Parts: sequence; structure tokens; C-alpha cells
Amino acid sequence: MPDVSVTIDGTQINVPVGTNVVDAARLAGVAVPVFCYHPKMKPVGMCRMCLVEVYTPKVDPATRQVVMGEDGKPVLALMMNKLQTGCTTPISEGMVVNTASDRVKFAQKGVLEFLLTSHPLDCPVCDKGGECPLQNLTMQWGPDSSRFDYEDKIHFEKPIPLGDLILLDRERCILCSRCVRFEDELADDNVLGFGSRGRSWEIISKSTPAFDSKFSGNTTDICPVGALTSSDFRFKARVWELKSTPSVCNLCPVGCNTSLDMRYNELMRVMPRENDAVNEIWVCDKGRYGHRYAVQENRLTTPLIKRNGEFVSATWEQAYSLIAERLGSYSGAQVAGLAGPKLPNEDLFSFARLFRENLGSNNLDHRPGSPADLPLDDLPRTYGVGKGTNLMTLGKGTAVLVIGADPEEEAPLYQLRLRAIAQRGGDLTVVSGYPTKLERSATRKVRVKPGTEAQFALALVQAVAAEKLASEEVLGSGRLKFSDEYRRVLAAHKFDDLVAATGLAREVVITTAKAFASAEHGIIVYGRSAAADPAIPQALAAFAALTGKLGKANSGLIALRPGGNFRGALDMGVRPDAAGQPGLSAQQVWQQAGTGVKAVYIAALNPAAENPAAAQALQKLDFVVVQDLFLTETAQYADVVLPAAAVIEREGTFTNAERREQRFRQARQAPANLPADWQSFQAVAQLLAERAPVAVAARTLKKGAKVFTPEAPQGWTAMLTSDVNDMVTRSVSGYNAASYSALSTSRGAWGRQPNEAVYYDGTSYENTEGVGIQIAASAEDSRTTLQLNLSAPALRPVGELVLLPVARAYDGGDWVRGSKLSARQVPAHIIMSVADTARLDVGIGELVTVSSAAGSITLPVQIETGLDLGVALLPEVRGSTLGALLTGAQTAITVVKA
Amino acid sequence: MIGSLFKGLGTTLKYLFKKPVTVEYPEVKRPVRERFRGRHQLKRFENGMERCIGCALCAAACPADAILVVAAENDPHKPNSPGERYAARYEINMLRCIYCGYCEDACPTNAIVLEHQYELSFYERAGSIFTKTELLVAPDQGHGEIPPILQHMNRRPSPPAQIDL
Amino acid sequence: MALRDIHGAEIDTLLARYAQRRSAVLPLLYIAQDTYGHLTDDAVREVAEIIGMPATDVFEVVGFYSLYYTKPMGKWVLQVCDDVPCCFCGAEELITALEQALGLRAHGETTRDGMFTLERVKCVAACNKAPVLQANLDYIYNLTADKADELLNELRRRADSGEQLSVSGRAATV
Repeated sequence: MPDVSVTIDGTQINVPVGTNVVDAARLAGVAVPVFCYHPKMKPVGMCRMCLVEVYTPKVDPATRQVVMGEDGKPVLALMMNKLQTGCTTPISEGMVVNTASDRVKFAQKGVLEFLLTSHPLDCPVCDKGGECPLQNLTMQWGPDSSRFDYEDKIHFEKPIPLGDLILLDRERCILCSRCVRFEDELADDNVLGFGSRGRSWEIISKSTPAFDSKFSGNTTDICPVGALTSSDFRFKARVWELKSTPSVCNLCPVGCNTSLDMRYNELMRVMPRENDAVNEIWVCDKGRYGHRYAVQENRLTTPLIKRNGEFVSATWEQAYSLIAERLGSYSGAQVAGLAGPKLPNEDLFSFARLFRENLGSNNLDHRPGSPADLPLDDLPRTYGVGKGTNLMTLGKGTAVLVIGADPEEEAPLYQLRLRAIAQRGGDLTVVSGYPTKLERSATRKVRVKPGTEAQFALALVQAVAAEKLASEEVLGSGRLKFSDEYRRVLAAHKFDDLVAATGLAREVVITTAKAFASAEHGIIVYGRSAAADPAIPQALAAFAALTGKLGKANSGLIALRPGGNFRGALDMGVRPDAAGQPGLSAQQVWQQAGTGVKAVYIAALNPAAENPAAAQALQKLDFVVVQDLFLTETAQYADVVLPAAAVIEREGTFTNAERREQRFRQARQAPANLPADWQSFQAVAQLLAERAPVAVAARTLKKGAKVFTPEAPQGWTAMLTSDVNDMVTRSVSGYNAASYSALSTSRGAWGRQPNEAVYYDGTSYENTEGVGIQIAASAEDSRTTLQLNLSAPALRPVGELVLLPVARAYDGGDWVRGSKLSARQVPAHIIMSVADTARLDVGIGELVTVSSAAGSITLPVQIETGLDLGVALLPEVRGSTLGALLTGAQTAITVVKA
Repeated sequence: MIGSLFKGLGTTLKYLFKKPVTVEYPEVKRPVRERFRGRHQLKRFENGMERCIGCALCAAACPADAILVVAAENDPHKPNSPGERYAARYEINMLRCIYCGYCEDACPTNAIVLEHQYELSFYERAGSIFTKTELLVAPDQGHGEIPPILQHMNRRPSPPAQIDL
Repeated sequence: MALRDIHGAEIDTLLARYAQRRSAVLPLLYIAQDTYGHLTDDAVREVAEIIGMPATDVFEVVGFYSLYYTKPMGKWVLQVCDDVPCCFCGAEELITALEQALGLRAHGETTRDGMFTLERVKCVAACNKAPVLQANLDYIYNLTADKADELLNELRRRADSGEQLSVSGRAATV
């Protein structure tokens, strides 16, 4: 973009065309105070705080030439002959801006005096006190006294709830509309507005439920006064008492950087931590309000051993030795390990080591073994977005294809980030079989027949050939290898048949393919619905590879799968197919429980909750160890239950969906000094190693590894989490650069700028603990050959209705314990189309019995107007017992009125 | 030699007839100066409400980190203090306190006042932590007043202190 | 009875008139206001539902315009201009006369029988015929205090005659 030259308070700088005066001043190191302007949102000029003197060169109307003065310099004229709001005034060539003249100071004082006329000045009571832009700007730019009488202030009843999470204090509100604009522009939730007018202007929310947004907490951050406060933090602490510990949210695969604000050992609030490549300065409500589970009273604090059907407390030594003794008594094939994808990398790595090296078992999985499990898919390791990907920088020239995903439910922050790409001029295609929120922001909304995403994806691959969209560079490099199956599937599925199956017009598929192929950057985001059929990720990988959208920054695949650290689980090898002889998957473990499999070690997973088959299988096992924070449904079947430290009580790393490894720190002392999960794994492994020394698997260790001293029990000598991380960096491919010190010092290209406080004050977004390191995709190495494969799409089952499981952000998991969001959890229900409910004569909330070949359940009905006939959606929430119903990616069901 | 002895005894004799400077503590207590800073009290408004609104500015001002304030939200029907916030816990560690009076200066509602009581001794360390039970005055006595310095300047306290109902 | 059932045809005509559905929000709110007497919370939500707009946006519109009433109004809303020209020509006397005749004050109060609501308004752009009163947005010109009783009787008669009345001015003639 061409630069223009401007002078701000005597400093001459060049700034890009279109920059406004406030931002330009910021670049020049000059602070212009603002309330309503926020760099992440469009300026509106509502608060008048940024008034500045703007002079532009005088232009002769006749000649359209700049008038020159006698000194040879352009004659300057005060724009509009009055002060201008800096945020709404774009920079133009030769502009001269004064931000500190007497006239400006007089205006600033006036604005602040006026804003304070109706402000209650109850700072000692206010939660924003201490990080309040109104306080700070008043100190720096405000008048020393007010001409208005204190007794004349308008008083409102305070506070009124805007929703169950956010409360509004109308006295404090300065009507800057930051919250309204955030919800409308960024979050696309039209739930906030201005009610009434004049002196009784106020923020209202009339949605049902009120303030129905998954990003509502962010409005309290950007509120420049204490008008919006969260019910989660109200009066908990004063902000200067808080100690911020950098952390990473593990509730979804976005991996938002958060700050755990602690007072002593107590978690007071969770705030976003700035990381432009991950969450900018936002965090969703789940990440903000969903970490109170760790401070619940009913946490497990001692190991429990089942004796005569009753759990009795035991010492750690007793528990560990019992586990080692029992697990060690079986052969490798007889034991299995399941570790949840919310565990940090260090734990998953140790867990995989324990099983592969000490127990000699490859029966490892990070899935709960329900029929709703997604098939393993590691294509993003090869075709994932390249190192240096930063969605925030993308706009024009970027094509994003979202397929079979509901980002707001699966990974909420992607809703904001993908919508922002579309707003900046990117091409956003949303392909879905059912209504999703993101499609409202899409450039191209493609509604396929439900369950035909696979046909659509294959049609895209066909379109590449038909329209000659393949990248010459990639084809010419000779890196692509096509399997026989690839050719067979392509030959068997004709483009027109595929398009006909999706119910779309031919042109839609072709324009989508062309838009993607012709863009400079191409990103494919696929979620739960797409990952359920392995044919879809394969076809998407082939499409991305053929169009050259691989192996470089900002191009490639992003998979959204359940579990905040699913990427880490795949990389650390907590999967049945990682090495050597493939082991049993979780589903197979339950099938072979009691016969082939005798003992199971389950960490941070609750398979019995939604899957009756798993509960039955657990009863058939000889020995079950469950390691979790709470006495879960699964733990009831355990022989030994081990407690563990929560995420906020230990340190570690998570890898997000874009393969960015990020480090989190310990914020709190664990109750009863509970060990981190990896410490328990290590303790068991040490005992096993003493019992039956096995050769340290040389393949995982490089020469000269100091940690593995000969006298140490088989290399299980980690003292700190960083010792485990050292092993990870040495033995897991791609992670070699991601040491703890590198993770905490790596700063991105972005950074805080001078005068940042003017914008961001009130919210400690500052990130001083590193932005993480992206693990390179293997396609980035130009020597790797890329084996492309395709499979035939799963056939749509024949039945009255087809059932598709869909993800929900508020899924009722363990994180909801103690959370303000517990009120937002919905009970299990089935979503059907208007036509189907009319046919069955059921209304909203009425019960229906849903039956499939696997079983049947009775659920209340919800109606979705945008849904196709013949399809039912079953949200994955607590109590949906999906496992009892599903037979595959798509399940044929019959529904009758109960 | 003898002269020195009588000189000394003379001094003793002289003081025998003078009024002693010491008092017979603890039976007799010496009055302290008006601005003496002794044990804290948490004052009330005339209507009986607590003046303390739990803002924790005293804790922030305290150079010895002797004060702990944990705030909570008032029940609108039965408020403890004017406004939404009150101090659910208010503790001062009297062993840590250096009686500097910064808390008094910081208090926007004149709730905390260092009074004249100076007899502070404890049988155990835990006893040195005074809670609201000890600090808060009874509803019918000891209302916080406008500090003399403000009276002298003919000024009212800053707004929160004006919530006197 | 929902709006759709009573005014289905009119609503469809209005929706068809505009290129965007949300453009029909003002006339639909008038219909809702006339149907329910004033705009209740449910009435506004019903309009939002018909147009497919977020409820919050419709509430913003209702709050902004002073001719949308969110509290119960009389069958006749009498708005007397008390701006300078009307005042010179006897608006204050007219207001006093109306207040006495109706037994209420001109701050938007409604008579007990629910017939009249009396309000003061600023200029209604008919200064040449001052003083001016609007009855359900119908202009009544040169209304001096002595004609107040006569007007009230006439309005009562019209209300009792079963004539279609509209506080939103949909039935206004001038």
C-alpha cells in the first residue's frame, strides 16, 4: 500500500493510505486518548475524546493545485475549520496534526468533564477501578474539577443483568458502543443494542436467552469503564492484587492464550492474553468461565483402591505398586491405555512411553471408544497450514473453505477469525449440510444435502482436472504420488454424479474450486461432520495438494477434532497406529474387554458417560485404573483411582489445531500436592522397570542424552515437566525446536506498541511469556513425497431419517463444574426439520423415541427451520448417550412420538 | 568521698518531694495525643451501616502488607454497607502493622480510623490477626466523621464518603 | 390472536413492498401498536419474528421513536403543540382547559376510562393555524380553549360510533 507523509506534533512519518489519525499518531509515538475507538473495530467517532486539530494543504478550486505560500510551503487550512475526531479522519498527503494545542486540550477537558457529569464516581466499589481507561484518561487529560453539581447526577438502579453472565451498570456507561459493535461486527451476534434515546439512552439485550453470545465476556474487557462486569468476577478482587500467570486454554483446539489472574492461591478470573496468531485479544466464554472446575471442593485428593466393592483411601505408594504389579502381570497385548486429548503433551508422551516401552503394548488411544469416535486422521501433519501461519494477517487474496464444521461450536474463536478474514476481503466458502452460524459471514454459502460433504470434496478434486486448476509448480515438482485407489475412486465417481448427489448446481462446485485454486493463500477448515468419513479429509488433502495450497504459510488444512490437545495426542503417539504393529483402538478395546484385553489404564477420559457399551466392557475387565480430577462415571468401575493436578496446578505444553505448541505455567498449588499426570505415569513406569527391566528403546533416544543415566530406571528420571519436554524435543519429530526456553521467549513479529495503554488499558492483554512455536508440516520439506489417496464416500444409509451427530461448545463436560455457564448447558435433544416434525405431529419439547440398529433413546425435539427433510441432528451433550445409537458416520434411524 | 555520697542522696531526697513523671500503669493510663495512631477501628454510618465498602485501597496502601480485604456483593435487601460492595473479610495483622496511618489516608469513606488504644499483646500469633469482629465498632457508637484536615479546608470528603444516609 | 391472523394480507403487502424485509419494520410496528393498544414486549418480539430481525434491533427502533408507545395509551392520543407560535395563540389556555375537562395533567397521562391521553409536543409544522392539536395524528387547527369541550365530545362520539381508531395515525385523514 502506498504511504503518505504526515506531520503529527512536529514528527514527520510515513503511514499507509487509509490509516486514521489516531493510529498514525500511535505510530509516531503520540498518544491520542480514545474511548469508543478500538483498533479491532471500525471507528464511529461517538465519544469525541480523540478530537485533534487537522490541517490540510489548501487547494485552489480552479486549478485543483495546492496553493503555495510565499515561503514555498503549502498553505495549510484547518479542516472544516474546527476540531476533528482522529479516529474517523483518514490520513492524507501533507496533513499536519496537532494533538496538544490549547484548543485540543480545552476540548479534551470538556469532553471528560461532560462524560463525568453522569458518572457515579464509585471507583472504590467498581471492578474496573485500577484498570479503567476513564480513570486514567481523566488523570492525564481531564479537568481538575467539575462545574457540574455532584447532587445533580442522574442515578439508575444498579446493576441490571444483561444476561446471566454480564451485568450492566447504566450510571457508569459512557455509551461508546464498543460492546454493541463487538457483538455485531466481530461476533455476529446481534444481541446488544441501544434502547431509548437522549438522556435515557442505554444498552439493552433482548435476545432469548438475554445476551446470548459465546463471546460475551470480551465486552467486559473492551468496556472502557466499569459498565459491564462479569458475574464470574464481580467483587472478587481488586485488579492490582492479581498476579497473572500465563496459561493456555485446553477446552478446544484453538489453544487460546489466557492469563490466570490469581490472588494468593485462588483463581479470580481468566483473561485473554494477546497472541495475534491464535486468539488476537479475545477468548470465548467457555475459555473464560470454564476453568472453575479445578477449584471445586469435590476434587479427588487421595488415591482410592477398591476393596470389596468399596473405595478406600490409600497411599500413593500402595496405589502405584498395586498398579505396577497388576499391569505388569499381563502381556502387552492384554493391557490398553486411554488418555484424553485434553492432557498436555508431556503427559501424553509419558503415557505412550509407559505403554510402548514398559508394558510393550500398542493398545493406545486418545478417543473414548464410542461409536461417535472420529476415525484417526493425521493428514494435517503433512498437509496442515505451514509454519508462520497467521490468520489475522489474511484478507484479500485468501480463500478459506470451511467444510463439515460448525466452528462456533467446535472451536469458537475460529468464528471470529474466519469471519474477520471474510470482512477483510477474503473469500470464505462455508460448505455444510445444516445451518451453521459462520455461513452468515460467508462469501459463498454452500448448503449441500446433509451427509454429502464427501461427494462435494471429491467433486472439488474432479473439478481440478476438469477445469485445469492444478498448480503447475506442484505437479512439475514430481512430489505428488497417486495411489491406485486414488485413480480407481476418481474413475468410479463421475463429476456430474457427485454434484447431483450433493444437490447443488455444477457452477457452485466449479466456482468454489476456482476461487480456492486462484487465491494466493488457501486454507481448508474441516470439523466433526467432515472428519467422521475418512474419505473427506483425503479428498480435501488431495484438493489442497493439487491446487498448490500446501507446505507454505497460510495454506493447508486445519482439522477441528474434539479435545483441546488432540493434535498433541496424535503427535505424541497416543494412538493405536503410531509405531510397529498397530494396536487396538479404544472401540476395539471395549469389544475385546475380558477376552483379549484384561486391564485398562484410563487417564482424563470418561468413556462410560455417554456409551453404555463401554460401561459394560469396564465391568468385564480384570483391572481398571482411572486417573482423573473427579470420581467420574468411569471411575466407579475402577480398581484404582488416582487423582491428578489440574491444568492450572502444573505446567506443560499444548499443541493447537494449527500445530502451534504453546506453554502454560503453574498458577496454583495443587490441593494435597497432587502430582501431574506424567508424574504418576513415571512412578508406575519406574516400578515396572524395577520389576522387569526392559531395554530402553533406542529409537526414541538420541546419543548423548544426559537424562538417561545408566543407573536410572530405564530413563524415567524426570524431575520437572521441562525434563519430560526435553525428551519430547529429542524424540518427537517436528518438536525439536520447541524447548521450554524457546517457547517462552519466542515473540512473533507483532508486538505491543507505544501508547498501547490508550487502547488496551483496563485489560492486561500483554503477552510476556511467548507466543508458542508452530511445528512445521511435513509438506514444507520440499524433499518429502506426498502420497495422495482417496476413498469412496460412505454411502448414505437407507432409512426413514439420517442421524448426524453435531458438536456443541457447551457440551456439559467436567469443565462445567462450578462454572457460570452451567445454566447455558442444554439437556440432550434431537433437532429435526419443520417438515419431519409436522409429519410426526410433534412440537418443540415433545418427546420422541429415536431408534437405530444399535439401540434407542427417548429425547425431546427441537425444530430447526433451515434443516432439510429426512435429517436429524443429535448434539453431543451430556446425556445424549450418542454411543447407544450410532452405527457409523451417518446412522439410519426411525423416530416415533413417545 | 563522703561529699559525693551526700550529693547523691541529696538528689534522691530532692525527687522524693517532686511529682513523679511516671504513672502507675496499668492502674493509671497516660492519655495520648489527639493524633496518636493506635489500634484500628472500622466505623459505621449514623444509620448503622458499615462505612467500609471493601475497596481494598487500605490494603494497597499498606506498606507492611498487614491488611487483607475480601469483598463480596451486598444483598440489596439487607445491605451491610451503602453501594454494591462490602468487606466480607477484613483482617489486620497487628504484628505486621507499623501504625503509619496510610490506610486511614487511603480510605475513601473514612471507615478505618487508627484510634487511641495501644494495649496490643497476644498469647499466640494467630491472635494478632484482628478480624471484623474485633475491628468493627458497635452500631451505636463511633461514627466516622469528616477528618479534621478536610474540616479545616472547609471541604467535604470525596463522593463515596458522602453516601452518609 | 396473532398479528398474522388478523392482518395477514396487510403484512404480506407491506413485506412485498420493500426490497428488504427489515424495511417494513416501522409499518409493522404501527400495526402491532394499533392491534394491542401499545407495544408490549411480546408484540415487539412478534414483529421481529415476522420480519426475521434480531429482537434487540426492533427494540432499538421502538425505543428511538417517540410515536411508539410502550405503555398503555388512550383510544385518542391528544398532542398539543406548546411551541412559541401556538403559545402566543393560546396553547397554554387550551392545555389548561383540556386538563380540567379530562381531570389529568398533560404529561402523557391517560383518563381513567381509557379514552384520552394528553401530551405536550413541540412544533407540528402548522404554525399558520395555531394553536394546533393532533388527535391520533389527525390535525385540528385553530383550536382555542373555548372549543375544547366541543372537540372532546366529538372525539368521544366518534370513538363510540365504532369508527376504526389508530393511535399510530394509520386512520388519520389530514
